[in-house]
Amino acid sequence: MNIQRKKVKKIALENDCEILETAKKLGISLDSEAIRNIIGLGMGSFHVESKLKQTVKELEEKKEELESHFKKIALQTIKLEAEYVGVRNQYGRIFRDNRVLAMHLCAHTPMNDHERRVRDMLIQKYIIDSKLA
Amino acid sequence: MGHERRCKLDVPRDLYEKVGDRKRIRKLIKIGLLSLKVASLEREIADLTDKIKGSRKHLTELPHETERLYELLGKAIEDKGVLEKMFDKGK
Repeated sequence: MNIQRKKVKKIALENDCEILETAKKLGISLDSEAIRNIIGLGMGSFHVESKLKQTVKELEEKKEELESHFKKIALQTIKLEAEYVGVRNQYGRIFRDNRVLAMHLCAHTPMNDHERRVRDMLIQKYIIDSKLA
Repeated sequence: MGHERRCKLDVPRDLYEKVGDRKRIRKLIKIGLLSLKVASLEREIADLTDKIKGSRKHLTELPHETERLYELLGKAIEDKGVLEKMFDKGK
């Protein structure tokens, strides 16, 4: 008879479901290959469980602190961006108005040299170089 | 029953025999998972730190950009006055 020996050994976690919770949080499925790798990591670790738990706690606190800081910066950014967009839109509107006025002026004959210079400068600015900043 | 079934792990037999102790296996799994958690948190913290650095830079630049636009807007409003005056004259 050829009785094949099972390749895995089932181990009950008893009341220790912390393992499952941690694995779930990390998005790890605990199949036998993953368990092999995790045990390998455990064997290679220089730290004891209590030290690692303390490190996790400290890192989680630091992460929370950074997240809150990031949120504050994001709020400030939203306010400043709103102001920036408001001014940009207003400038865009005035620029387009000026462009239309400058186009009308193209057909006008200036009264004197000063007017001609101003008119030419504005035509150059709002029609020839008409790029919105 | 269902819960009990869920709380069982399939440990490769060769590894189990090498370690030879359920309690130690559980301990090693916990330590392995905690090491992974530490690595994952360290990566998240590094990402957040980079994001904060980028946002701070943007936050510092924005007021200058807005100021520059205000200047352009002021000049465009002035030009509008001149253009309107010339346009009215030419009518």
